[in-house]
Amino acid sequence: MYIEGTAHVIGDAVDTDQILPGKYLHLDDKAEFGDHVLEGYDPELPDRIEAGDVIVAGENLGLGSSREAAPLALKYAGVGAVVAESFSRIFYRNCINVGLPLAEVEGVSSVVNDGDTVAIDLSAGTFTNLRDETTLPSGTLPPNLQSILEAGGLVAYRQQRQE
Amino acid sequence: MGQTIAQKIIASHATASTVDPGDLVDVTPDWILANDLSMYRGIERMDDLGYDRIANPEQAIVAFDHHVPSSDPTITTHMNEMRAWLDEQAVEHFYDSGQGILHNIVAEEGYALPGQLIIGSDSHTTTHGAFGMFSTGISHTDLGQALGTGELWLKVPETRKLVVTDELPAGTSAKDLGLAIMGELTASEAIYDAIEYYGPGIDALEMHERQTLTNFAVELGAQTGIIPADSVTESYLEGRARAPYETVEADPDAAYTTTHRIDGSAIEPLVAMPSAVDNIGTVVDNAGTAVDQVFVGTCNNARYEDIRAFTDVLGSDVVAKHTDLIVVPGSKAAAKRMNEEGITNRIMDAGGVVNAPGCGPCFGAHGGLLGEGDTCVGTMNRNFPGRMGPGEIYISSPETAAAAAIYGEITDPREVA
Repeated sequence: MYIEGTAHVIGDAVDTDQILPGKYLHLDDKAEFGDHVLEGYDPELPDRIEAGDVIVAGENLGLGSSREAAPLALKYAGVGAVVAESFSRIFYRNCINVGLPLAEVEGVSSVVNDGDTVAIDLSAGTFTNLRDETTLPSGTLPPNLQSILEAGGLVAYRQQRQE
Repeated sequence: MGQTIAQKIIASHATASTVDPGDLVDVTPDWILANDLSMYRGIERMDDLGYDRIANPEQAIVAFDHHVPSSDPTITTHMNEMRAWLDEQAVEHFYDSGQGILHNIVAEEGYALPGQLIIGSDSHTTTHGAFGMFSTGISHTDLGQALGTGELWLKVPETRKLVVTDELPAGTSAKDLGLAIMGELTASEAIYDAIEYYGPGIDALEMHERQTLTNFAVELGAQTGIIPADSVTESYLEGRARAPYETVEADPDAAYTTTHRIDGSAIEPLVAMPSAVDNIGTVVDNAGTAVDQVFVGTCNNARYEDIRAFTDVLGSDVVAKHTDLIVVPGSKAAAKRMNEEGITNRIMDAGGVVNAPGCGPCFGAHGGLLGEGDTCVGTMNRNFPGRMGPGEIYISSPETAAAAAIYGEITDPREVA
């Protein structure tokens, strides 16, 4: 699985309230989550994030509330992948479950600037900043979780297995 | 190599003899928890995943606690749909609006027992680790999968040992200890780990205090926080436990990655300053900060004993002129006892508002949101940017909240006569 896109750099400890504030959790049309993605971190980000972009975060991305609406907001905003120094546990599970590609890359926040084009090769376990070809190792998922992610999430994975 | 409590409980719920950190293991939880926010999405996900029925309806415990009472017609409709669905699915352990916060109910009603494994679609499911069990949070797809199959995969965590070497001094509470631990471990050091709590400073805590600590485990990034069951646990469960139980102890040669030592006798009143749970400062250093709202509530710190600790410091004082006081009891049982003992009247006479049992404004949707530039001192577990509206949050103990209510500024509760 290979993803290439424009990076948006965000800081350490960006929690799920900042990714999708609690006042939006009851929205009936889940696609609307994407209109408010990262609004609690920077109100201008929902307008700046375009389909295929990559979020590059610091430590402990997605801490706090368990809300799956947070990775869904990123997915519906068209984010191609999330890369972070480290992920909070429930957010990590949720990304796999909703099919949002993710990579844990130590040192990533110090080698990427906003607007760089970055590439994540989940199968090879590498992250590359295409601006200067800096390459860092990324963690790989256990094979069964990798299969869920590649299918596009647990729902798609189960549908494929039933077909 | 010996096994930690977390390893033993995962193994016993996966019918494995032993498990090792890093293993992915399918477990059958004793309970699967959901609230009104997560249940609605869980129903959608069950449907998406192709499950028509809950595999074991007796495994589920559902409480409506977030939007209580409903603050929006769409939410009211969702709640009505859920009530019909839970009925049709024969979910008997259902607590409708007004019964209290899911986690408070699970403890008070005798569901939570030593040795169990609980998963819950609410991050603060770690609270039940206070009963010597493995209890952890999940979200909506996992909830749908768990309800549909009765099982879910977990990654076996590494375990840290946290030892509190002495009892807490007078004038401090378990919340201050919890905040001290936040300062020591930060919000990211223990990501994915289990934490086991030991030492005289833990042994001396009552069950409501232990739940405040384990409620914080998720804020440490941990998968679960476990306080081994002892005579305090057994005495709380006497006449309350819904089933027989067996306590689980770690093997003497269990492998811990790290041992943290906290000197309980050195604990003083603390706050988590805006806007991170691990931005810890002393009340003394923050004294004088003007406070617009005091909020006593949440699954962290709104049990009967917590609210009584608040009114014990409040005494016969009234709330400062420009400060709002909002108290949200954690459960109906707590609210009724407050009523019986005159605590509700005391809060109202002091100028405070007492709302229906539930999560209150903590998750940022209703019931006391902060305005731009407002400062709140509250007994909750989270103070993330914008969490409760545009204002800023200091997390404190009920005692520190009471001192702030009286003086309208952060004040050392030990100095309130």
